[in-house]
Amino acid sequence: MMKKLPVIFLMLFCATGLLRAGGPRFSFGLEWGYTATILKTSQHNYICSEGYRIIDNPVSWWYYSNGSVLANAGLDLNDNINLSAYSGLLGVYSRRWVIPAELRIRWCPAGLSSDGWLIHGGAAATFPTSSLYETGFRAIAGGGYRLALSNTISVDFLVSLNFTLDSENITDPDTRTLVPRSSITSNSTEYQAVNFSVAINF
Amino acid sequence: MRPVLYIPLLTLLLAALCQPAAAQELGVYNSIKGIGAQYRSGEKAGVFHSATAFVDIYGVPTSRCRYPGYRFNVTRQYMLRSIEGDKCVFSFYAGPGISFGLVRDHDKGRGFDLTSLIADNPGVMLALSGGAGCRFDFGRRVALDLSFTAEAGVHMRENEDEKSYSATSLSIYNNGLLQAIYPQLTILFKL
Repeated sequence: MMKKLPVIFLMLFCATGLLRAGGPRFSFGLEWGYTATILKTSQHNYICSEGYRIIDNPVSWWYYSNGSVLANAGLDLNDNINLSAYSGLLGVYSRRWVIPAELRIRWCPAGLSSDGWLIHGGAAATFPTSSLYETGFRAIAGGGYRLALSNTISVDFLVSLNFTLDSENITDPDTRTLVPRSSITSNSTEYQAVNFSVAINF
Repeated sequence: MRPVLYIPLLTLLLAALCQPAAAQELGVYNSIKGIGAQYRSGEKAGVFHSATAFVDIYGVPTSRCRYPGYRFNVTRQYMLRSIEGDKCVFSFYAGPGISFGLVRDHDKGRGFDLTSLIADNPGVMLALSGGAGCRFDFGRRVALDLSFTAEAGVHMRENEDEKSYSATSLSIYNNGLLQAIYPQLTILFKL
């Protein structure tokens, strides 16, 4: 289903006649920014070394700083809408980095080649670079302001809310060692963050 | 000198003092070194000055330290050449300056050894700098600038091996040279 999403998007735009005259234009870009993680929630369900089940759902409000560097390639579907694939490196938590494969849509009411506000939203599968290689998920929604330098080059200042679904190492409360995968029923962690980014599009 | 000759001389002096300076600029500084702000004075007779303040993130992405350092640079830049393209004016410049800050340093030579990557060594840095770059002006209120800066100086910090004696360690500021190849992209707003 995930693989078919870009095709479905394109078909929808074609069907509604939204594609720009002369066909879509290719776009490329770089984006980097600061991520402030403010809320971390976890759902842990596992059998501990003593043999009994532990169900733990901690919630912690904790400010944690991270960074993000992404490159993108996509299509200007019409004069206002761009659809791009993003990938790079995202900091999620302490010593926790993921590589996203993200699909993002950007809407510039004033036009992609004009100064003005923009709205964007995207979803990604995330692949951790270190322990616990389970694929995660990330969703972002936000907006910003675009400064057009020429018809093809622009700079975006962006703010977005980020939701990242990941997993983490669970430590046994008695032995202080990692709980083996075979003893874990569920292990998910969600990070809610605010991201401030700068992007250059060309 | 006859008093009447003072009039054109004074006029020239006043004109030189009152001439509108080229646009000053305020910029957002972006680099692998860190993120910050830059002020750029208007160009006058082929010379302008830039002042940069940024958060030095060395050691933060690798979780070597939780908090970043702070770095400042003031440079006198000389315009070398300006080329007018179809949609953009390319202005090349270079110049010397000074840098200072409270930063961490890559402290074990120029290799990427483990000790250097995990040791936290905040200290005071003072260096002479040399920079060069190119400004891309598209004729809008925003311009882009790509530059490189090398810094030759010293890093003074608490000696990691002699902490119980509060000993001070002084060494060459390695990151000033190692990070010379890091590109710096500044988004400049004309004031």
